[in-house]
Formats: sequence, structure tokens, C-alpha cells
Amino acid sequence: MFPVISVSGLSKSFGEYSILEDLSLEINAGEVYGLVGLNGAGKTTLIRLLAGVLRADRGALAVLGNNPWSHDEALYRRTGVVLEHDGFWGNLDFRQNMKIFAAAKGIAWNDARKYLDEFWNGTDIYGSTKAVKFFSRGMRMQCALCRAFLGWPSVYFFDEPAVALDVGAYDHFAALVRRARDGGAAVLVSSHQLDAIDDLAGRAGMLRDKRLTELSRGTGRGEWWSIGADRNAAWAAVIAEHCGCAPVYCDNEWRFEVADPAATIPLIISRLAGQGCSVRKVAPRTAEFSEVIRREYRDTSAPDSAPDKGAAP
Amino acid sequence: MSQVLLMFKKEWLNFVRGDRSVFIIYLILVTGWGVLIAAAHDGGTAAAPLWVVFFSVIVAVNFSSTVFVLERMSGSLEILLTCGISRGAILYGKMLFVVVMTAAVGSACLACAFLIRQFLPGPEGTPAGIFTWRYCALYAGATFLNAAGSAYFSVVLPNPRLLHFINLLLAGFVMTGYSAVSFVRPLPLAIAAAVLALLGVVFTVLAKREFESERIVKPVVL
Repeated sequence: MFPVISVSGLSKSFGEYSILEDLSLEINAGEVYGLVGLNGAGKTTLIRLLAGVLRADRGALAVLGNNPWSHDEALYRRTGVVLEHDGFWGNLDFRQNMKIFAAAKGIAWNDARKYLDEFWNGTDIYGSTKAVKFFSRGMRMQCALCRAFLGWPSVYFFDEPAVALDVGAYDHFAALVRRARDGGAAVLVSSHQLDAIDDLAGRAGMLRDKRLTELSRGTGRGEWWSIGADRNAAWAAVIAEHCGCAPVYCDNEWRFEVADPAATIPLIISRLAGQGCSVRKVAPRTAEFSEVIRREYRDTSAPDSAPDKGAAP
Repeated sequence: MSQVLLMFKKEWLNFVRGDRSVFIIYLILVTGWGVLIAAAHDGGTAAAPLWVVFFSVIVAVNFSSTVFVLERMSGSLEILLTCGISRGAILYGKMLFVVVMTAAVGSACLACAFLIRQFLPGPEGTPAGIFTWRYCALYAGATFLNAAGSAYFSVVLPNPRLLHFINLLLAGFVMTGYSAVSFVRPLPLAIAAAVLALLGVVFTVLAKREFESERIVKPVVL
């Protein structure tokens, strides 16, 4: 595998506001990378830099070996982008918009139509003849996704792609991402929807303090365990006391990382039982990105009040 | 060139599939302005050239507001920049649309003025001379300047609502200079048309530079 997207020492500021500093990132072919971070962390800026919309102040960026700011049309044609806005012209209908995008990408309309027939038949937008301005937000997002996958590019940048998608539309999007990934494309997905990151990403990174921190499903601190119990700040405090880190409450269970489970888990159980906690189950588990991310958020933003806010990044 | 035409096609489709009431407004504008030009026409030396130029300002900037400002506000310009069309083609395609549409509306207006003078000749009784190359050249020069000026100022102005005023100022500046010089030594109207077109070239170069920069995607505040 080779890095399709390669960033090193990237810095970007808007006037006096520094957004990214000395950021490095590599994404290989056939890889989906999840990008997370608090509001204003710089996720959209990073994507706009990679998509060639913005110019970096410092650092080296390469997408498919080219600098995205070179305005190389051939590079743009190998890139699928979903940004904040869908980019469709409201007065035109879905197919008229797609005809223009297909022509812009140098794709014959017959090929584009085959793509629509094969991959979008049965969706809300496929047969629609009304102007796009009358579409719902979810339908407009589907239009944007449909445009991004047109021609099956080698690189994809998705900024909040799952916003406004219903369950069926999300599943469809996820299937297309997997197909692109299996075809050797590199995909960068930025989202606040941690389930989507869990679902799609093989690797993930968190933008914080203008830099990117690579996340792993295990942080190296130990093993992940879960204890089925009610949500209660007292129970969280007990777990935190023994593990040295705040647990995450999710799906009616406390999830946490523990360095020495053989010694620590029985202690926790006995402390919880002693305080009147009804423990439903205790089990080791594989951490999801969402858990790691939630804990990272909490470690960053509210370390003192952490236990009670576990499930709300 | 095919990319420029693609942009033109996109703008055209977006226009013709837009709000129908805009056609009625243009019809009223064409008729009303045709009357003004016909009334002011006395051989091309007094107020009629000014009406011709200012009509171009009104029409061209109206189209420019949609193709340059609204495109940025809606966010679709960002997508256009990333979908394989060169930035130059985006700029020239949009300018071509503004020039062609403004020329079409202007032609209708001059034709209207011509017809009015045909059937209702003025006191001097000279109906001919409205639909002449002088007015056409003047209108073309002003239109080119307005399209290029709008492209440039839609990016650099902090508030694009000022687009009409800045274009009016530009055209007014040229026409005032022309009138002042003509007062001392009469100049052919073609000189004014040439100056307007030359300024148009300058603003096209400036607009191209803006479109190549990241200022083109900075947020628009109204």
C-alpha cells in the first residue's frame, strides 16, 4: 500500500486565528480514516485544504502525489468531495445537475446513467423530476453523495456525510464507502456521529489543539471491560478510582480500560456491590472508536466532572 | 472552451428554470428604458449614451449577482472548484453568460427604443440612429466592463450588495471623463466604448487572480 493522502508539517491560519499547526497524516489506498474533533477543531479546514479549496500556509500536502492547491483538473476528477453544502443548483432537477457534474468530470452521460441505474435505483432521488430546491435536507445530502461517487474516484473527502440521512440512506452510503474502499480508494470521513466512525473507519484521528492525534481501539493502557449497571455518578467514581481513568456509559453499561483486569475487576465488583449497585454482567470487550473518542473528549474538556458526563461528547 | 460552454449552459439552465416573474420584470425594464433612450436620443451626443451605459449596469449586475454572489453564498462554488472544471473556465463561463444575457436584453431595449422613434418621431423627426453600431459598441463595452467588474468586486468587496454602486461608479467615471473631454474637443463615441472595454480587460485579469486565490471561498456577509 502507498499513501494516497500524505500531509506533513501542515499549518493553516485565518488572519490571527491559527487553526492547524504542524499536522501530519497519511492515508493509504484501501483505507477509511475517521476524523473527529470538537466544533471548531479544524476538521472542515483540513478537508478543504485536502480538496484544494484552501491553500496551506506551511507544510507539504499530496493527494495522489499532487499538491491539491495546484488546481490540477485531472486530480479533481479523481476526487469525490462532500463539503458543508451539497453544491446542487436548486432550479435544476437531480438529473440535470448530474449531467453537468458528469460533463465536468469528463464522464459520458451514458456511463453516468448506468452508474445511477446500478447504484441509485430505488432511492428517493433516483426518479425525482422536481427541482432540487424542493428536496429535503436528507435528499440533498444523497445528491451530494451520489455526485461524490460518480466515476468511482480514487480519493474521497466527506465532511459530515451522515448528517440528515435516514437509516436506509445511511446504509446505502456505508455500502458505497465499503465498495470504494475495497476498490482501493482512500476515504477520509469527518463526522460528529461516532457510530458512523465506528462503522466505517479502520483508523481514526482526533483533531485537538490544532494537531491530529491518532486514535487506536486500544490506547495501550490495558484491556477494555464492561460492567452492566445503572447510570450513577457514584458507580463511575468507583470505576475511575480503580482504573485511573473515567469510564464511558453506553448501552446500559459502563465501559472502561483497565491495566490489570485480573486484580482490578473483582475489586471493582466488590466495591460496587458494597455500595448497593446491582451488577448485571461483567465482560471483556473490544473497544469501539466512539468509546476512545468519548474518553478523549472528556479527558480534554471536563476532567473534574467527567464521570457523570460519560455518554455525551 | 468546452468547460466555458458547460458553465454557460449551467447558468442558462439555472436561469430559465428559475422564477418566472423575473421575465416580467425584464420586460417592464426593457420597455421603460426603451422609452427613456428614445426620448433622450438626439443623434448620440447628449443623454442617450448615458442611458445606454446605465442600462447595461443595471442588467449586467443583476445577472452578476446571481452567477457570482449567489453561487458563493449557496456554497455551490466550492463544489464547482473541486469537480474538475478549471477556475478560469468557471470565471469565463460566468462572464460569458452575463455578457450574452445583458447583450440580449440590451438589444431588446435598443430595438424597443428604435420602434418607439419609428412610430413616434421626436421634434427633430429623425427616427434613425438608435440601433447603430455606436450605441451597440458602447453597450457592449459597458457590458464587458460590468461583467468583469462584478466578477472582481464580488470577491473583494466586503459586502456584495455594493456591487451595483461600484459598477455604476465605474461606468459613471468613464462617461463623465468622456463627456468632459468631449466638451472641449468632441470625441467619437467609439472612444468611450473602447475605454470601457479596456477597463473590462483589466478587471478580467484582476478577477482571474482572485478566482485563483482562496479569497474566492471566503464567506459572504450581506
